[in-house]
Amino acid sequence: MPNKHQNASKISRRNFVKFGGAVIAGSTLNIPPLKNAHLSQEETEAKIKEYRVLGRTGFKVSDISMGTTRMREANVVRYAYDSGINYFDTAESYGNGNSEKMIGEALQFMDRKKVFITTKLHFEENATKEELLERFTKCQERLKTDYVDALYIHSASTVKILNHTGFHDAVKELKAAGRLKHTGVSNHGPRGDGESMEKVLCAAAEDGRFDLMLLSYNFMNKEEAEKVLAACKKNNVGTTAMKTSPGMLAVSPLDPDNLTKDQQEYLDRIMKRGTSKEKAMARLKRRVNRQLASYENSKTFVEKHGIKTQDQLRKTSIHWVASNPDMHTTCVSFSSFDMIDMIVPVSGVKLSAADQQFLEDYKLVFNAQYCRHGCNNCVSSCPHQLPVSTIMRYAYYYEMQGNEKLAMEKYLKLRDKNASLCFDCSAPCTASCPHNLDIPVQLTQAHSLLTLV
Amino acid sequence: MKNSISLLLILLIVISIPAHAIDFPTIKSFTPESEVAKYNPETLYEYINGGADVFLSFGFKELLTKDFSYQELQFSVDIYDMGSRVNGFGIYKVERPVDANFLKIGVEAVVSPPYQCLLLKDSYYVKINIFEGEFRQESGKDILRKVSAALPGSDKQPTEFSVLPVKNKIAYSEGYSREAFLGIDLLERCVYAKYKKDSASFRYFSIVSIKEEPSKITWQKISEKWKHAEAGKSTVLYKKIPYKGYTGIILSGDKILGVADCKNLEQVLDLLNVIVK
Ligand code: SF4
Ligand code: SF4
Repeated sequence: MPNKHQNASKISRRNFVKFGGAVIAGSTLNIPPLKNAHLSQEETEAKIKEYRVLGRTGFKVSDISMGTTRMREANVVRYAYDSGINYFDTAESYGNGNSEKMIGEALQFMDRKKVFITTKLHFEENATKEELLERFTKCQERLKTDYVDALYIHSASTVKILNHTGFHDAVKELKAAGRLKHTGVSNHGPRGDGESMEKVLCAAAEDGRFDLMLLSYNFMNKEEAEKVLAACKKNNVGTTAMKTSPGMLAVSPLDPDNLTKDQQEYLDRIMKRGTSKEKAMARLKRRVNRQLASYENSKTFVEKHGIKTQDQLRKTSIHWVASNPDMHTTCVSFSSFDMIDMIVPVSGVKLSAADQQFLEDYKLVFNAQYCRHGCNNCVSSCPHQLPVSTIMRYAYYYEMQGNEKLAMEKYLKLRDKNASLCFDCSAPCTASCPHNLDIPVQLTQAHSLLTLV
Repeated sequence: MKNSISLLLILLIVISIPAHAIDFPTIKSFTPESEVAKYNPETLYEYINGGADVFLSFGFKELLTKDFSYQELQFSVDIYDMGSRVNGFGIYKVERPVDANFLKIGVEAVVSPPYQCLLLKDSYYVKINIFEGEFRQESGKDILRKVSAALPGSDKQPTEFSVLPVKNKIAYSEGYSREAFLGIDLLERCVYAKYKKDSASFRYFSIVSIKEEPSKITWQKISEKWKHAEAGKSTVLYKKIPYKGYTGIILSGDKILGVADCKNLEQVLDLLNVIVK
């Protein structure tokens, strides 16, 4: 029997249904006229202060823009607009099309010419022009707009997809009909077997057919993303940042007699696999101790900067991105009025030296604990060519996901190419991680974890 | 939103595997056309890209997906385990069409021709994507019934909804918002439903209490930010929501009950009076 995903490319309609678009039936464009829009404004607390030219589109966009993956209330879009935000990002797959619907609902309270609406379609190689046109038609119906400002290839993971004939043919037709103005490419960073974000987006920027790039950009991935920004600047391509606030301050009080939900779930999972309660509890305690040790390591930093809230980290991270003039707009997934009031004040304000220092310190502390998914910079320094990031990922499955069985099975499959080799090694890899991970230490710990020795 | 630090610091997204992991069920009369593919919170992006964020925000645990043929149709069945019945309800509500003929299959289901059926049963949200063959309402219902029968668990609405009044409730209008209900950060974990009485439309809601944050703590947090009004012996907390009139909440026993979309404070008090009774 074929594997589900070997099979996938044979079926063209799969793209269509998997990535949404089933909310409205029919393929002929059918946009109901807007109700008499009354454009009365709500008094918002904060206002956008800076607008930047979005590359060769020539459109002046707010330096803070709105992403809609977590948005549940059309009124939050309206509030963002009243705060001066004029760039709204959505996709066919967000909420199975319902996110586009909410923007459509809010659009009746906006001056259409003053806002920039983007949506995205994800597709595989076998998608046809007709299929993409049909899906775009539905996006447009949900958005209730005569034209969409930009259509992105959603999560383009290879350079090859940039040349998709069906996509470019569909775009040509849509532009000729006045239904689409620009095209772009989005990339979330390396995934699975995909190519790096830098490779895909630099190729897209040089290509000439794409006017916009939507990229993952934050103070933790500065180096990779700035190569993309340079390529965009050279080609006058518009830039939008997403995934702007990495890092999380998660709180979990530790009381063995009063376990948190997460700890209880961890315990239940282990016991479900036949482990006795006593042993499961011992494992949970070891896990908690490791977490405590990690907290202890970070304590000085947390105290030095008086970090009280996740919001503080989020706001400063977003501010850092918005402070880069080569990033035309910083897309934030707003779910509430409060969040808009919290983030919009960073618009047009220079990042203070103290905040800059805060992020630098944060990066120093946390970079060293986090092996980058899809990175293999250090592999060439290892005489055994150990798959370092893969081994660390398995440790992550084990420790953070509690998926011990899967992690250990996968690790076993590496056979003799595993981290037992690190125990008797002079560790030439030691200084090879650009993110300062202590590779030998992390790998030997991972080995102990994944083999239970 | 977390607002204090007590003990530990974890980088990036904190995730966990399913609490009630199942194997892909055998579905009567369906012919398997592929192996099962599995996705966890870390890999879900590989399957549904940016759409994954919303699943993660509802506590997604695991996705099992497999292709089948049945009669002249070919389709994939995606089973999302959301970890709890109320989370399953939440994501189903986010993804289902706004207006459709909702069906009493599982907890609820909908056939959305030409290509999709959605089903909610227990903590499982199921998306059936038809990719070959002529697909009609009747065949959709047939498929949904078969999938529902194969899945374990309850066909009932999550118990959290039982606090909402039945009278004047608009059928199939219930939902669950994990964060920022009404666009307000303080309103997390809200079950709600829409109501129509005479010419008035409004929503009742209740904040689901959890061990880590019992209702009294939530009440305390909100009372620091919202206005107070007296209603007999009780206190009502209320707030004006941009474009949507007034909302108010009351602490009744160990539950926080609320009403939204009211034109003024009087209406808030009247309607809260009804729900408390
Ligand atoms: S310590 Fe491990 S990863 Fe580093 S060079 Fe030696 S074997 Fe390779
Ligand atoms: S240890 Fe450093 S260089 Fe090696 S894979 Fe991880 S992040 Fe990359």
